Amino acid sequence: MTAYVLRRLAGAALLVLALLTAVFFLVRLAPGDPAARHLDPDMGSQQREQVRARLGLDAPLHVQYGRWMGGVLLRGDLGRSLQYHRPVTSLLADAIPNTLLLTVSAYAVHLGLALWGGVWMARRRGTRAERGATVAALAVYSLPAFWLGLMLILVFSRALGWLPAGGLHAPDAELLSGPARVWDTIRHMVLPVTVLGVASAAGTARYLRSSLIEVLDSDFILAARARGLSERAVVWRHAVRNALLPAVTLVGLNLPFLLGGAVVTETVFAWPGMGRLAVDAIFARDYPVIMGATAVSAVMVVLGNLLADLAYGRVDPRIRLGGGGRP
Amino acid sequence: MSRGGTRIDPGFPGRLDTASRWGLGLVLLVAALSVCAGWLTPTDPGAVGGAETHLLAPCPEHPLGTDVLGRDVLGRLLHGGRASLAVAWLSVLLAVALGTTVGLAAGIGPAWLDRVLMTATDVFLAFPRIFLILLLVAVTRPSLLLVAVVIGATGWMSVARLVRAEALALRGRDFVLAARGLELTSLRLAWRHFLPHVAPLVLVAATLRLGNAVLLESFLSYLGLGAQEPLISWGAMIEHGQGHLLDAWWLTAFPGLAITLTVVSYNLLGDGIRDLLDPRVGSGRRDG
Amino acid sequence: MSARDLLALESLAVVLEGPTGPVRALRGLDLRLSPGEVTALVGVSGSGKTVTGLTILGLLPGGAAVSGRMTWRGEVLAGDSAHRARLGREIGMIFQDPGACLDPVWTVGAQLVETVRAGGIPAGAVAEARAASLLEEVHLPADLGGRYPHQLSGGQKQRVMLALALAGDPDLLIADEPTTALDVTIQAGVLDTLRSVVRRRGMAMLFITHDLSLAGGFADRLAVIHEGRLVEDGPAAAVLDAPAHERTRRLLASLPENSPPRKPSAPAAGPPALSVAALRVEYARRRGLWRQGRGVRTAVRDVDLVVGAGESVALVGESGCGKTSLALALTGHVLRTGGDLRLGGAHRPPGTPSREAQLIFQDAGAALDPRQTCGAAVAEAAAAAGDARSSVEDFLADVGLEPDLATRRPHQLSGGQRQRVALARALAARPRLLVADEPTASLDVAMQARIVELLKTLQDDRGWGLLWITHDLPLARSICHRIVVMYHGEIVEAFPAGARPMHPYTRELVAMTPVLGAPPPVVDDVVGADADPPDAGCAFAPRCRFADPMCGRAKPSLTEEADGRLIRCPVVLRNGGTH
Repeated sequence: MTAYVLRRLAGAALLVLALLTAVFFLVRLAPGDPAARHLDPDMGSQQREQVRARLGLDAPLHVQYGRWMGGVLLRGDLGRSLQYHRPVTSLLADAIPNTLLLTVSAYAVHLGLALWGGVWMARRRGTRAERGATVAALAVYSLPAFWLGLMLILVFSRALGWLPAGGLHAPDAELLSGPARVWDTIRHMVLPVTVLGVASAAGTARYLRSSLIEVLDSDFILAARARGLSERAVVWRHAVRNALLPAVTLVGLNLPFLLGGAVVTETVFAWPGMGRLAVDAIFARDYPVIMGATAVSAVMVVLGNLLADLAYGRVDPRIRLGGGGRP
Repeated sequence: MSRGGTRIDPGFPGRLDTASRWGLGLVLLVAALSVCAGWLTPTDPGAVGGAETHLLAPCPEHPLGTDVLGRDVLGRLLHGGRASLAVAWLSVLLAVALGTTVGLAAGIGPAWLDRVLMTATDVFLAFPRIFLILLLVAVTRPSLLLVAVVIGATGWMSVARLVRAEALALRGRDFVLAARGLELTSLRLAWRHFLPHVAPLVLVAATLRLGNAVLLESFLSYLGLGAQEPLISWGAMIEHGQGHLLDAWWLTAFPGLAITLTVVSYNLLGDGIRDLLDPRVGSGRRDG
Repeated sequence: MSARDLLALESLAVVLEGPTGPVRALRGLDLRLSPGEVTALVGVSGSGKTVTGLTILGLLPGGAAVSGRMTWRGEVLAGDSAHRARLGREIGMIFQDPGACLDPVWTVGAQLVETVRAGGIPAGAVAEARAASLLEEVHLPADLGGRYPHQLSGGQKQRVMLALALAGDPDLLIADEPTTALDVTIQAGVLDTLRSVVRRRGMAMLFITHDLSLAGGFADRLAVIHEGRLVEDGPAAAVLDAPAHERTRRLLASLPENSPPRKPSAPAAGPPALSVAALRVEYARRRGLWRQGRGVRTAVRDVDLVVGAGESVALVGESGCGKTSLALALTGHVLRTGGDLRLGGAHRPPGTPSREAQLIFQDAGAALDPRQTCGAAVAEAAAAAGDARSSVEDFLADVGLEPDLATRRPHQLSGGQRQRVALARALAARPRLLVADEPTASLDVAMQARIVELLKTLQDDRGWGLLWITHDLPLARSICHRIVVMYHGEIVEAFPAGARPMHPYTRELVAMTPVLGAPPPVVDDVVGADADPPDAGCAFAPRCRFADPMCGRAKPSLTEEADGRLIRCPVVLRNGGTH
């Protein structure tokens, strides 16, 4: 088990190094000029050179790389935003907690729904209800998330007025008392969490359903039934547990998806998180922010995967104890 | 080498089930409507109308209403499909071609190549795709072609993993050993024995990614990073209409439905193909 | 139907949903089981024997249509909840592959306790004690309960399955090929345990198998099932003495023990098909963080082997002895870490597959590309050999197949046909040596006999060498001129097929192999066979009944005897080969 943990940690560290490198080179190698924001068409070539020198773009590529990597790894410095003139890390520090709030809540909803839905569908496989549910689930995950968000705003906010249309909290939130503030935040969370959590839950539910069906068809479930165990015990204590085992790694697989989904949701609901920060930075051509946000999101994914792998190692006795496979 | 139970691949497709046939039908319908959009709409979808034609609700002359500039929504809807479908197909072809090549090379070739390719794949997979796309689009001028290329360039990784996993599984199978025993070259081996097994999986993956590509393109167009005027895209139409969310709901509702319908059709089709090609014989139950 | 019947099946017919349409698995089966009686149900794969077991349990896959009548102690079994309630308590079942039947995330003990509790015993000390006593009953140590399934050997897992089946004190035990996946020595031990448990509890048993020899030594009654119907049913001794049905007669005649051993061949002209000296195959053991081989596992050590042109040599050994690694090294699929290999006199570099040494696999279905037609597969092999003249039809005809099979795909053929196509393909590559790894293990006895005859004929005609790898000693004798026995990576004995073996291990193999008409083997040390080999001295010494103190200290070397026999046992040599 220790070997497993150490291997995973080393792998994760290397991966982080690699993806920081990738971010750097992608921006440099993509067509277009990172300094574009600051360059006026009227500028003379000398002035352009000055601007580039100021941004550090005149140095050879490997020097720039060294500076950037050194900055990130040693000082945690991701540069300064060209828009706000604040360190990127400080902007991200403000934004990430909001994204986490949204993403974690949405994931909890996602998992709960997916589990329940997956088991429900697997147990009723072959029936017409299940076929209908499968198609309905498919329709749900085919919806464009940003459009779903808009439609929900249309119905619940504009038409019915029950929920706010966007933002993290009401403008006068500071004036509210503790519980009222929490309630206000929750009200603001309902629609975004629904969009982020529910739509993707359909996909995971289908995955769990097929995983569960495969397990239910397996020999050891047959043997369990042959021993006289009740159907409930067979399904919940044996089948679900075994089907969920690989699903623990699903958590890791879903992370990039979830963070990406946050971008869409935050944009539509004006949620002040990492995703919205990145999108705004695009339009402002604020490439340090984009680089920073991209790098950090990838690091979050790697961390999430690492945790999922470690959890899997604990849960599966074949890895936890080693010593497998005598003929 | 295995001992016991035979796993039998029929290798023959059966028939598509009902839902998937609907999917196929829808796919063809959407494609047909997009291609024939020019003949179906009498007026130029970009033609701006006078003030009295602005923001009309659905009525006999404009079955889906008009937008802020008096343009017919139905006409624009029909034309809008072209952008999405073109981007989707181009990007998927790119992603699939790239992914299959990488996956096969990693799966069949020497171990070092596998290591290198998989590290590269893992690095790119760690990024949430949207961030990667935004990063690539950030420093260039937005265009539909760019969107197609970027979506393709960020989508090959999971295809590569899929293909590699299948190639690795095939490598251990006895018939590959038998083919190696005939002293066949790796290239011949890849072509004659691996590709036919990998192709169905890639087909399923490609069909499902078409739907996802449509979703990505529509979001990027919604942000203004995709189709630029005078090109029409459903995502851009939604963006134009969101300022009048309640009072002119038809501006956002119909394009969104169009996107959903298109994506549903590809997903249904992809599901059907996957069920077809899934060798579920030999699920452990002995035949005696 | 008499009143004393435990289980009665009348005109049982079962139709299953197959991938290409409905399959009639059972077509009117009549069977009666009496209390305390062991009935063997013998049939080949596809005959419906497993389906019979599943039908009795009421656990057929969804979509199965059952007609006919099943009664248990006079009451009808209808596949409903009352039927399910009997499972575990009145009817128990053990399956062929115990590894696939145990939940990998639960300990053995926990699964036992759960099953015990399902029978109504409340949680706590009573249930735990019951679980422990069940383990003891199947000759397992009580502390095994704390282990997980993946930490157990095959024999131990099968015993656990038995304990689980006994937890509810059933009156009938259905055993579906319980020992087919096990080595002969382990098999003998497990069967011994099974027999003693059944007798002691006075249970009835339905023993499902394809192995007539096994059934004959074990059962009171013998029933032969063929294509979904019983064709023979009677007391075991009577059926074996005077079989009534043609099918039974054919099964009996096809048993390898009923064919004469092959005579030694005249030495053939030309270089030997295979000549190997000091062959060594080692695998790196993946340990530690950086995947460096800390320690190697030696699968094959210092093997010398010669197979003459036109000669058949059998390589006999149980799982883990290295025979598969040897086969892969000889055909170049696995790197050999030492030794000299020559095919037809020409030196072969390690790790590169050679067309001159073709492998025949046990599972022909897996050895043929499912997306390739049979004709294409054979043509591909012929092209690789540079043969432009012979046609695919010729090769197929050589193995007794109709030319129209060339356009079919493997899944459309029967097991025997597939194996023959694989053979045709291997021969189309014009090899000097054919290495066959248990090629008939998944075929029924009659088909096996036909393939064996085919190989003998073709070999006499073409003159290639054959290395036949098997764990089945009687089969080896009927096919091969010479027998070579492997144990833990080394050759321990080599002798002509007609001669009697002398090495203690080989003699134990012979003793443990079920033979028709002979009483079942007596097993002294039931669990010893599973242990790891010792570091010093003879690998077999811990299990050897002839071992003396020297055996544990000095490693014996392979000695050549006057008549060309090889033997690695100083004790036997000292005693002049007698004991």
